[in-house]
Amino acid sequence: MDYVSLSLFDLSMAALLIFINGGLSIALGLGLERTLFINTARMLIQLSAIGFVLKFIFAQTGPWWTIGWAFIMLAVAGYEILARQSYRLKGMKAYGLGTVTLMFVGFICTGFAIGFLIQPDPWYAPRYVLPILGMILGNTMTGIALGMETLSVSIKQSQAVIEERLSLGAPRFQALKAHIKQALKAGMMPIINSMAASGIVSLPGMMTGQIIAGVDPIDATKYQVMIMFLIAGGTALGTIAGVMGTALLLTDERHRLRVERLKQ
Amino acid sequence: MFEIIDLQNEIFRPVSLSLKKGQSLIIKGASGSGKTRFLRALADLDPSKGNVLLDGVERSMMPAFEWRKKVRFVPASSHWWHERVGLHFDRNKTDLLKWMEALDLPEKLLQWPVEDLSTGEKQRLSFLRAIQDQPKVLLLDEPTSALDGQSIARMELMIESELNRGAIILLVSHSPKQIEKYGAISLTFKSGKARLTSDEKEIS
Repeated sequence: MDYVSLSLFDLSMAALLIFINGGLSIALGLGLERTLFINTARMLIQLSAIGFVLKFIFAQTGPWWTIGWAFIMLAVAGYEILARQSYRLKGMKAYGLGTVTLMFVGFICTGFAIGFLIQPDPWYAPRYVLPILGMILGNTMTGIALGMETLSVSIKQSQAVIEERLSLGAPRFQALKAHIKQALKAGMMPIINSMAASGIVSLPGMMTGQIIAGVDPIDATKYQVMIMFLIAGGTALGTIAGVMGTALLLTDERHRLRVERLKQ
Repeated sequence: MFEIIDLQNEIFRPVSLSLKKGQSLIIKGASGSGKTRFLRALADLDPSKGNVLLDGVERSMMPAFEWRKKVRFVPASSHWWHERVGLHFDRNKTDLLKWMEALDLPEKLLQWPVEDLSTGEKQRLSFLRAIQDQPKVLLLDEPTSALDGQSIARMELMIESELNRGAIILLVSHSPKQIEKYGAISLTFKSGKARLTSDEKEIS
């Protein structure tokens, strides 16, 4: 594979664009320059760090470094779900539900892709496992977070209506049906929409990367399609598990609504 | 027979009483004293300790939604989830039109969007919605709070006919007339503590 490697000089030239951006913010009084600077620095540090971490892991033999890093990714993605909730369940359940769902979905989908589809040698080859797991976790995380957020907010707002349905003899899942449906839709719409737009407006990131790295466009397409299927499947599974889990945790075995288990 | 044995939660102290078929009980007390929370606990909408039995069967012996089909809580302000009023009712099963006439509600209201109903119409319709599957116990939280004189009289007739069919009714009310009519037994809440009186005599 051949591609043009970037020098530090190239990167600093590209960074000029950020300075222009910052200059505009100051000139127009947008007040964004501070956030812009901090987030640029974060991006720089995080990406450089990940570059070195991946370089190190790729150089290791044996699966443990790959597996270990996979768990770190999982823990961070689980926290990200939590951070996106306006209302959280009290206690460890808030973190537990999102993270366990992600683990279940991320490992099933990645395992499926690695074990049956790609079958790299060795099986744990980090350069396949980690990017694929990352893409699945990143997208599934968005679906789960949106689904859980939509459900908990709509339950909180519609508490009285739901309790009226319970009073009239509806089991908990029947009383919550409209809310669950709405939450599942919210979680799944982004990936469904992005499938429709991909390829026309922009090339998906992975495909772009492979093409620049010199991979044949048809081969790059095949990878991208596989990833899209994995992501769509993973997001659907994850959203269902996250939303149903939230519905269960916000009710109890006596079919009561337990909104007090949420805190802002 | 509706038996309440040492029912309590963090809002109200233990309450025990029993009511026979067709009997009513008035619940009195200032707002915030625990009346509504007591009714909610009876319908098992809020967690509580103690026991409640209907015709000798403990509520824990059946799923909560079965219990609520028999022991029905009707809140002071009603909530609706379908767009049209009529969708909340099962018209084959009940004497709905007859009841609507008795409460002076024209049939055409069933076609209306819920948001076009007045507060009083909502309150009367929510009562009908609650009795359409003929629950054995009715827990009514101020069922006439949004009604004018004439509608109150019609609602009281309706409550009367529910008692005659054998329903047991627990009624939160501030109206002296209703207290006199249904309050042979009454439960007065004062900051979470309930006092039970029967014909003006304290019994516990």
